Amino acid sequence: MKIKKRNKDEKSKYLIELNNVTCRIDNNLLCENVSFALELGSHLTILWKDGLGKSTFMEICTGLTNVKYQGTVKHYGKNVKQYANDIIMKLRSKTGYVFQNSALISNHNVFDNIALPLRYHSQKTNREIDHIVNEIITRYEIQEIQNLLPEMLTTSQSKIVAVARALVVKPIILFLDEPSLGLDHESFDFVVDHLKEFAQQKNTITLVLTKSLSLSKALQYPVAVFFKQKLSLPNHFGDRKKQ
Amino acid sequence: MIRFYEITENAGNVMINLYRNVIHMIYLWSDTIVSLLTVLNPFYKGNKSFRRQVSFQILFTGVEAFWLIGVIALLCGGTVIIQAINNMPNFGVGEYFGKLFKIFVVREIGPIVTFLLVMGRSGTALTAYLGNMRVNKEITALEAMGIQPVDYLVMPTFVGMVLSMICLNFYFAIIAIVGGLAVAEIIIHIPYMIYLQKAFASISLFDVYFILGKSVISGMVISIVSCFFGLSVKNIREVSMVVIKSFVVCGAIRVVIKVIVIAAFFRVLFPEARAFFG
Repeated sequence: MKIKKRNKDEKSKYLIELNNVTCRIDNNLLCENVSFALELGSHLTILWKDGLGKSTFMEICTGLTNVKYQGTVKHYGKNVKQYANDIIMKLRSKTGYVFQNSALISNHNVFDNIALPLRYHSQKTNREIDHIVNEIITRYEIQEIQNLLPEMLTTSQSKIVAVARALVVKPIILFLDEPSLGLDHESFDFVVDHLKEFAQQKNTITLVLTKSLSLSKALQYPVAVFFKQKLSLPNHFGDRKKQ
Repeated sequence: MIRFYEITENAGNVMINLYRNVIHMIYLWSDTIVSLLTVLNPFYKGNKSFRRQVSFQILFTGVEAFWLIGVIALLCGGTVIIQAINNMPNFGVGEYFGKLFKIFVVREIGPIVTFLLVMGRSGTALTAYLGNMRVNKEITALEAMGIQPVDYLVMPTFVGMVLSMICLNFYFAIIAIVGGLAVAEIIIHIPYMIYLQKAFASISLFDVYFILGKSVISGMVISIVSCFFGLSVKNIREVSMVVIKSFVVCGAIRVVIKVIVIAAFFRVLFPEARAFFG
């Protein structure tokens, strides 16, 4: 597999780019020569069997992991390892990430959890931030639980709060690690609707990693399947698939 | 059978880990200072959670420990005063009551007891809290949102801990003097106002700076060491271990700092000892 050569000065149109990523953890092969690229407006679901390193692979895609891997992961056309820490943090301020276990901050209530990224990054006043968060809370129908701590929430509720927290910053890139895990039917439809709504916006990217076939069907994004440490991509990702 | 090379290998590993930990703690401390200076910049408009986080830390470390520190200060002050008033005149040094009280309680016992209580109560809790945050991927979630854990967790803790330590140390000194004398008056019926005057008259501005310095160092050591060990957790089994480790390391670092400071500034800190050492 050879990567298509591009002029160094040519600005990459791909915001997320994985080139021949191979990762081993304790002699177990997690993935081998995984390459794909996502440009603005593209959304991808990767079907991945449970227990085979889905979350680790997602952390590799986001550049969050310290696990050693071969190949390169590029964000906005540059290797994530080459970014200075403060620059990658600024780039992440426009990235949403929904974790498998929701990962809500345990000593903050729901309101503060949703307000957290805005309070840190935004130049807005506290009153404006509170207004935005209240709007999001109304939109996601979580008014009744806004003062509760994460430990008091059900799995579905904490997942909805995690999605709300990821989308409150109006991200360009949205990473979803098992977004449907533990959701009841009603919440499932609710989350899918909001994710579809996000995908309809211009200039956004979604990368979903899931084991759920029903989620991939409901979202209707192109589906890639991970099988025997290899990723088989759908046809219209052919530009990368050929490589 | 234990082989010699295994002993040397283990000892070597321990030394390498110790060296790495110390270097990483210094990095964490410097990152925290940089983060603090950034937040204090009047043109910086990010990190609006700073005040909220600091006040939370002050509430937990300072305000909630007031009763505990107060009782301990009362007991320490009372015991030292009763013993001093009963025994010092026997040695003909009764008039040095104020100075002894100042050196023993205000300068030494106060800061060390406050340090131990805060470390045991708040430092270990902080380590366990950050360790659990790491295990539950909350720290990763912060990083995924572009929030530096140092900015959001370590630096407010550092500020809150230092401010709390300053308040608690002065609080301890005042309670130990005023309350201790009151306890002594109840038990052995001393002339309260005279002894109170003696105790306060012996305290100078230098002592205030001395307590201030000790409080700042204690606060820095507790917050940085606790955060360092909390953030270094890799799995749930390690949480209980790092809690103990952070407590021990905190104490050790404080002792090392104290020995270094005493060795370097002995004559300045203890002008009374000049008579003995020339």
